[in-house]
Amino acid sequence: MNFKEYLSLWKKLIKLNVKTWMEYRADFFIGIFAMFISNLTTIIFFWVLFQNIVQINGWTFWQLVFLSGLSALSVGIWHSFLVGLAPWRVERYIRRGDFDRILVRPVNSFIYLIISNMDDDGFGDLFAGLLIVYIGATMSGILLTPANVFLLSFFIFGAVLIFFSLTLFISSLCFWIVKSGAIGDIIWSLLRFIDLPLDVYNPFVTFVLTFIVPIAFINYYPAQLFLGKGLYTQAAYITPVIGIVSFIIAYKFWKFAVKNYTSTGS
Amino acid sequence: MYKEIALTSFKEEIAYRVEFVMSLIGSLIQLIVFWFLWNAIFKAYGAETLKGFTLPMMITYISISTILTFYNKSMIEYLIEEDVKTGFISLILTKPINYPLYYLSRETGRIAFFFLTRGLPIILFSIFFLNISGPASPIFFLSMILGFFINFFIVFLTGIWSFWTSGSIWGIRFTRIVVSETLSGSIIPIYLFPLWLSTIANVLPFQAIYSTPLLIYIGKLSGSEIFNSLLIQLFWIAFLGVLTVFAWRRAEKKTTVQGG
Repeated sequence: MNFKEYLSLWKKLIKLNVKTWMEYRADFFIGIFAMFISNLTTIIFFWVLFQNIVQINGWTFWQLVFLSGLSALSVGIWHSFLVGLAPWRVERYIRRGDFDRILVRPVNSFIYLIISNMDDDGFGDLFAGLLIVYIGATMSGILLTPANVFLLSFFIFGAVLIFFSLTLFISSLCFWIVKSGAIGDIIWSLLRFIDLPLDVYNPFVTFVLTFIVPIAFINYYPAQLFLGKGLYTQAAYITPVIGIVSFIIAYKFWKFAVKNYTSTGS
Repeated sequence: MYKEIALTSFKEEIAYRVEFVMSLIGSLIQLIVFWFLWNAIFKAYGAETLKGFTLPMMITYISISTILTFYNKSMIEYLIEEDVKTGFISLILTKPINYPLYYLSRETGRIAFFFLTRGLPIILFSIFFLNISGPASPIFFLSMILGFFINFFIVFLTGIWSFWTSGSIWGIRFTRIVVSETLSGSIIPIYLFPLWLSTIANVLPFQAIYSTPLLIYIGKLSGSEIFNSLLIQLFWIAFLGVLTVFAWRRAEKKTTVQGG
């Protein structure tokens, strides 16, 4: 299949999705609302804390809101459009034998999983992310000029790729470990780290979150640049590079895993 | 028989080893993040105590809270939903089994398993690396058990909502988790809430699940305060218990009349 054919397939699948959502309208709105609220819990948490203090390691409340907005937005984009390759979905495909069925079809399994799995709950994440970034930015005195919005989109692009690569890497493990959907939970645990700015951590944690599992590039480094704080503000610019490099590595690993799966025939 | 059910539930849990390791790592990561956070907060605050809490008290509080919040991860809502949707409920009703007690046994098995396998490593980690202290009073254990019952009744009540709704229970369960997390003092002590919010939290049952045992553990409550909080816990057990029996009778009636 060529690009145009995938595009028309995607359109058809979206139409199908929308029909299902409208069929279960209550579930559709409850899901979006619930994800929206869940994003606010971090903000509420900070808000309660800041009733007692003025700053944490030089970060004000609104700066922390901006920080958590950046990760919420990246996760929201992933959750809406790329969740098909999430560990728990891939695990289900393999366990039910659906993955074998996809493999015999004349489609690229990687693309097929993405376009056939849009998740409406992700929209709640997405709306919340946009709103939190907007409010956080405005209240921290970041001007949302066209240039800044462009730059922000550029970083978000990299951030989504970094997060996507992380999930893809773990999903690939599903081909070896059957119950790996649970490993997916480690993703949410790791994200807890970037709820806080790196300034709070010791050098070891900072090192891991920058070089080993580079999730600090999802929000911390871009936020530093926009807020003009910290020593490494220019580090933000390599966010897209890190995103692309992580994606190449994760995609190669995925390919390797699929190939291994088909050759053993298990 | 209920002992057997609890035991089976305990054994079922052993089957999920990967989940086990992952959730343990997840709990430890959360604890570590909070450890860094509270250290940073006390450094920023500059004083020895924050609203009567010292840093070691706070670290102890969040360590024990990490274990107690296993209550919150209850899956009973999903299990009840499945019973209703698959029609299994009609079969259960023909058997001489008390449905709420059946789930209370399962939940007891689950929590016992969680405390032994995940709670113990977290406790050991907290003792050796975070230097937490032991419970200020043994009444903590009593209060912790009372909290378990309050949580069970709430979860069961949100769960049997399945009898009246055709949609998924997911959203209701999710709301229960979020409300419980925010208003129970399980993440931040209610003492640090602004007054209006702590007033709301104090009239809701969630603080009796987490805040009460946690405050007793770190020795924040005096003798008479402990006595009063235990009374409040007992009140919630009585109130929610009666509500559960009442709601369950309605649900049972609905099923037998309409045939599930």
